[in-house]
Parts: sequence; structure tokens; C-alpha cells
Amino acid sequence: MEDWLLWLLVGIVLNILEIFFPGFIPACFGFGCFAAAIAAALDFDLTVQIAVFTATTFIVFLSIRPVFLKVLSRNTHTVATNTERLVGMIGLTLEEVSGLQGQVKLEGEIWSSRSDDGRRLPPGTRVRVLRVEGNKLIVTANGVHPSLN
Amino acid sequence: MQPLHWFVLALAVLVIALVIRGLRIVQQAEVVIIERLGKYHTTLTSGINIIWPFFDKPRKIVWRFLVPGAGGETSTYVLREMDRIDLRETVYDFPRQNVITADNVLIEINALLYFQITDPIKAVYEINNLPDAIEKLTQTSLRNIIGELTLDQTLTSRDTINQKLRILLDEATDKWGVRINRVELQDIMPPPDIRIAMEKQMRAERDRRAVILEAEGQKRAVILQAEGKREAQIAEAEGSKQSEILRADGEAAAIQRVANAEAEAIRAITKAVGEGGADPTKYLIALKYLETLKQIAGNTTNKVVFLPFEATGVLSSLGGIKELLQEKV
Repeated sequence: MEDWLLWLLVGIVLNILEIFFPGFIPACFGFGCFAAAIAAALDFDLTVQIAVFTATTFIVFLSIRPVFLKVLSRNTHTVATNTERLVGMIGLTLEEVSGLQGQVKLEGEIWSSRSDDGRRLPPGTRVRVLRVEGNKLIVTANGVHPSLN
Repeated sequence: MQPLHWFVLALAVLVIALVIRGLRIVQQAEVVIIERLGKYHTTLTSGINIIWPFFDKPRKIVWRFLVPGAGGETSTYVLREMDRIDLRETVYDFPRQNVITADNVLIEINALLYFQITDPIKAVYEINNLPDAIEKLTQTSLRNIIGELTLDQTLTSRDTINQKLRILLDEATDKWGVRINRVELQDIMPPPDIRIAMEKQMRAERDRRAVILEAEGQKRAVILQAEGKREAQIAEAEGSKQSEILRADGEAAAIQRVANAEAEAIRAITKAVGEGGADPTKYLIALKYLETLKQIAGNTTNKVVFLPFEATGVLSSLGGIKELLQEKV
């Protein structure tokens, strides 16, 4: 069997494996194998073939994340979940929220909170979540929000 | 050429190892904490990530998994170390535990705990064995809160228990980066004798209500019956009064008529007798006397015939009669 054919075959098998075991690890080697197959087709010896395989795999490994972030993530929406989702939400203070403590109702759940600048916010104030620290919401008094009147 | 060949092969193996260990795809709602040479370096978020396996290592967290028991046995929890930290809300079901209420009743409670990691860095670095810590903390807090409530309050105030617990636990779990969202009491089992007593109480309560209702009904019935009787009696009395009056009226009218007729007769007799010059009174008395005698005698049922005792009276009346019949000369 020809060397380049063997590389090609291994590359295809690796790419098939990628379908069953996602994580882009077999695909990296697959690309390396295709590159080595080209090297073999151009009649380089085995050492060069392996070197080409190694180099290509390494390059793919390094460039995969930027490529992914640029190209593939372009049409996937980033959906914030868990605590990230709460950032920017509007809640309602149930009791006075100070720089140390307070209770805010957010999405039907009551959270311990504190204001970011230490200002005292009276009960019934609409507040915006800036971030989550520990299990406390760090909130700030919400200005006029278009969706709320 | 030979050494170079081996070198290239070794390099290939190194790159293969690097790729296998260095590419990490992290799923949504999971994070991986990476330490560089034992020191916190970064938190990998969802998407594709590259780490340098030579000096980057994911820090593991202890997590609890429910393993279904084989052959119908109760499922058990198994602690495992994993490098992915799940940020989703998680439910732990903790085993039954005995709690003493404020009125000294030993109850068994079975609680569910919903918690969520809000800060993965704290959850990894500030607490060892997070699941156990959460469970023990919740159990002891629950004991505390139920210890302040009576059995009846425990059975009815789930919301209160929840709120108190959440505030209590929030303070403790803040530094662990964990938020306990909810603690739900699945079931509260009072001891058997208390349960029997509760059932008895319930039955007694129902019996009491039944007896009261029955008595009420009877009372109403008796009242209604009495009212009916009263009405009936009144109506009857009214009726008899009316009939008596009518009868009396009738009798009065009859007497009146008889008297009128007698008066008429007496008048006629008087007239007739008076024309003969005799005393009409005596005549009438004699007439009555004879009539009465006839009555007494005509009473066939009597074996005894009454006669006036005073024969002289009789004679005198006879004399009166004789006088009546004497021709006036």
C-alpha cells in the first residue's frame, strides 16, 4: 500500500472518530494525517512525513481556538446561564439594602444582596444586578428603565 | 538520519499527548478551574479552551452522585471527584432524620435541598467536601428552626421554615460561593402513638360535630312539633269555643222559645183557670207533681218506685186538685 494512501486512510478514520467522540482531539490528528499524506505524495521520506504530521497537528492545536471563536461562533448565540444570566436584571428590594446586607426579590426568588456603593436603598426600589459575589447580589439603584414604568 | 528519525517520532508522541490533554471543550453551565503549578490561574468557561498540560492542571471538586441501588434497593449517594463544576441548580435528598419540636415531640423529617454554585472559585477553594458540608449545615439548621416550633406549627408552616432556613443558610454558605435556594420538607412523620392520638382527636372532633348536628336537628324537630301541636290545639280550642258558643246560642234560643211557649201556656191556663175562680198556681204545681210522678214511675229499669215522703204534701196537693175541680157554687 502506498504511504500517502495509508495517511489518508488514517486521517479519514480519525475524522470519523471525531463524530463519535467530540472534542476536536481526533480531528487535530486527522488534519495532521492529511498534511502528511500530501508530504508522502510528494515523495518525502517517513521522517519528514512524521515531522509534517507533528507540525500540522501542533499548528491546528494552537489555531483552533481563535478560528473557532472567529468563524464558528459567529452564528451561535452566546446564552448566559446561571449567575451570569442575572447580571443586568431588574429586581425589587424587599427591605432596606445597605452596603452590608438586604433582601432583593429577583425572578420570584429572594436573594441576599448589598449595594455596590454602600448607598441605602429603601424597600420597594427597583435595582439592577451588577454582579454576583458569593451568594449575594451586588446591586445598584436602577435609573429609568425603558421596559419599566 | 536514524537519530533524527527517533527525535521526530518522539516529538510526534509529545504533540499527540499535548493535544489529547490540552484541548478542553467545556459545556454550557459548567466551568473548569485551572491551576498553573498549583496556583489558581483561570476559570475555563463554555466553549473550546486550550491549556498547557505541562504546568496547567484542572482542580477537582468533590461532587455527589445518586447511584440507583441494584435490585430494588434504596439508591445511595457516592462521592466522586470531578474537574467539571456544575453551575446548575442541584437537588440533594437527605436521609430521614429525627428532630425534636418545641413541644417535645420526636418527629422524623425527610427534606430536599436545592442549591446552586454561584461562585465556583470559592466553592473549590473555601470548603473541602462541599456536598457533605451543605448537607450537615442544612440538617443542623433545620433542627434549630424546628426546635423553635410546635408540632402543629411544623405541619402547617412550610413557608416560614423555608424563609428562616434560607436566611440562616445564606450567611453560612456565602463564603463557599453556594446559594441554597430552597429546603423542602418532603414528609413529616410524627411517632406512631402521636399519630394515633391525632387520629383520635380528629375522630372525636368529627363525632362532636355529628352529635351537635344531630342534637340541633332534634331540637329543631321538637320545636317544630311543639309549634305544630300548639297551633293544632289553638285551632281545636278555637273550634270548640265556636261550637260551644253556637250550641249555647242554640240552647239559649231554645230555652227562650220553650219559656215563651210555657209563658204562653201558663198565660192560657191562668186565663182558663182564672175564669173558673181557682188559684192557677196550685193547679200548675199539681200538674207538675203528677208529671214528675209519672216520670218516676215510668222509669222501667228501676225496681224501686219513689214516692214522695210527705203523703200529707201529696194529699195537700190533691186537695189543691180537688179544689181545682170543685165546681164553684
